[in-house]
Amino acid sequence: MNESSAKGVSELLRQHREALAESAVVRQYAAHSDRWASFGPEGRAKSLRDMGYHLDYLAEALAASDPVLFTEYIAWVKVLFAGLGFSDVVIPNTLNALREALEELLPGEVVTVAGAYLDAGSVRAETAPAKLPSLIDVHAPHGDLAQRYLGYLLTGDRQAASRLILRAVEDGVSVPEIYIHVFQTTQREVGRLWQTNQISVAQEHYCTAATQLVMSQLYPHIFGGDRKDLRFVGTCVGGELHEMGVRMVADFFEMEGWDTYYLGANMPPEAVVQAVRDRRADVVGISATMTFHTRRTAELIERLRAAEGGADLVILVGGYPFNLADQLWREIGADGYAPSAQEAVAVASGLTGA
Amino acid sequence: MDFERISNGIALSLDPRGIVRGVLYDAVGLTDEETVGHSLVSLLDRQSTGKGLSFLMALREEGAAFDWELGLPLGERIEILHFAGIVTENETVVIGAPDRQEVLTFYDDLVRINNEQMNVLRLAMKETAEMAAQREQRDGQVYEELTRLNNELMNLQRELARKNAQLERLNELKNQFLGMAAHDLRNPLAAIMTYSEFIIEDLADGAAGLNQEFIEIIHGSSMFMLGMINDLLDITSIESGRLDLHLELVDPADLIERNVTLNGVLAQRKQIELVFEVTDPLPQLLVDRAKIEQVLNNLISNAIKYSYADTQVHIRLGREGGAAQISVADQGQGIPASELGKLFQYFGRTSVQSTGGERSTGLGLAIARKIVEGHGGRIWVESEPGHGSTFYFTLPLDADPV
Repeated sequence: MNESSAKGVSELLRQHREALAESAVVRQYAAHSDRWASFGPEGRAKSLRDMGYHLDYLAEALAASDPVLFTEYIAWVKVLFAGLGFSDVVIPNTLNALREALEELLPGEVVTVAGAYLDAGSVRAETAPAKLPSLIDVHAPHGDLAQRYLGYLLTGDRQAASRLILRAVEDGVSVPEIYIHVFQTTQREVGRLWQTNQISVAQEHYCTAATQLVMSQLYPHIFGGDRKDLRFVGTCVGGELHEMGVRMVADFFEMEGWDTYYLGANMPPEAVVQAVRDRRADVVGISATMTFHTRRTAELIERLRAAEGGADLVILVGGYPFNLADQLWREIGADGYAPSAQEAVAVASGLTGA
Repeated sequence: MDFERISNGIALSLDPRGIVRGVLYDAVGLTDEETVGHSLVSLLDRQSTGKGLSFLMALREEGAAFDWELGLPLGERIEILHFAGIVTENETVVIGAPDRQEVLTFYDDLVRINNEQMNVLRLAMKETAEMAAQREQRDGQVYEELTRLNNELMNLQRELARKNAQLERLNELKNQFLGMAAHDLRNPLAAIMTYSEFIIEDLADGAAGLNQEFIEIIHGSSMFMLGMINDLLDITSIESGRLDLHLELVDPADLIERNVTLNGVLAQRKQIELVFEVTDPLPQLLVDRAKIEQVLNNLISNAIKYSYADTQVHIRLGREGGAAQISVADQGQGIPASELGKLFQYFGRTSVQSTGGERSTGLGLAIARKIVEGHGGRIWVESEPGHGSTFYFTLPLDADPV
């Protein structure tokens, strides 16, 4: 999308904020009068205020040419509304009312530009979770183990955490199960605890570092076994705190008999190209953690492609930005995308014909 | 207010909607253009969007919020700042600083300035300060733990390095063990000694002539030992990482033709016909001539070794994908499927017997594999017991050896 036109639309939305909010609320109430009647004039004032907020964030996203700002706002509103006991249809209806208000009051090209953001918001309203409960379900496979593990980490008792895992493996829990049901789950839960302001970054760092240590204690179970004649190199653009995802991916490849080589975070592109050549990699996995890493990922892919043998190299991407936009991997020139470590192995095996 | 004391943070004034009215203090380098008139949330990292909205909501609902960590993108980095804020009559002031203690100090200042809000804020402060103190203590412990954890990681790293060195030594030992294979050399040596003693005794007894059969046995055993020693020397150099390839451009058809001719005598003796076909003419290949000849010689002589009289051995040169493919197909006994796996391993002898009593060192195919893989190619076998075996190997066409 043209950046300047998005900015112009944003400006128009700000200028006509009150009129647009009023028009949208009128439409919302007309369409579902039965639902809104009971809230009275006070409720209507709140609806008007909320509609103003929706417009604010739509305008902010347009000003930044970044739909994610709006979609993440919608995801947050969904949790808030669910907490207030609002029906699921309130957000889609609100977004529709907003679109109609735009159509009524602003020129057609404005509606086209803003409409794309509203569409993205509608999609996110469907996919985002309505609640943010603990991601650890004690009834899920090894949920109890995950909960006890996290408990130890949050109290800073990594020895107990490590003993717990090693004992579980001795008792017959497989290493992939530990990775999926314990490490992956607790790591996500730690992220949620930070998002909901329950733990600090320091604790998040600690949990990550401790889990990496426990993972290294499991290496004797991972390295070894039947080998395939396939090589994987994993790297990530982004901070050290986010290395763990791609390290887990590398371990999954290792468990499937691939030879893997793990490069640390923020490696210069030439170092990655060099490692790919030295290791004769069949597949490269790149993990990106922030939306603004997308550009650096694209640059890295370009460098890998330009290098000798780059055209035949299979390049996979993963991470937050690619989970948000399902065709992004294609746009930046990757051969595939996977939302989890296991799927990465499956996708890579498919692409290499292994 | 003395905002200068915030070493690396920001202080912003917001309207009730959370939109920045003014920058009160900025030590991180925000521009007015991207700040004023925009929501606080739009300044944050997108992964802090929801949390930022919750922070604004807490401010609105409780009049004060304290100790919220939010991510602020600065260039390509994301700085995690501790945020606090209070709402006065018509203004919201928000502070973000890397250190909780700094935020606390400013919070105090803010509270003092806004007397009318004192009571509300005291209450909020009391709760949050208590919590903050707990968190502070906890964070202190966490950082200590982190340091210890780091040391432990270092130790683990060292241990890994140690184990690695140990493994290397073990590998070295394994190679020496290979030397033990030399015991295979003892049998032919024993034969040589026995038969040469016979000859010496015969000579002492003044026997009429030398026994031709004894001398042939001595000669055959010596030849076998020489082959074995050559193989062992090859392995020693390959396993210690010295597969020195002397690459030159070679016409593959000429090379194969030569080896077919050399093996022709052996084949004729067993009444086996060698047939060489080029299915696809190929350009010159960049290979180590002597080593590839070794592979060809091994495969062709094996085919003869395990074939019966009046059969053919087909040697074909063609193209498969981006590589040259050479195959040697016999009409011999074939190899049981269960034994195919160990074929390319050292001493990976099978139960298949040679047809003319020829001996095998059990090393040739393992060496062939190392040579082919060293050229960036592949070697494999397809076999059907009773019908024969076909050995294939490929060599890259683009001159890019590993």
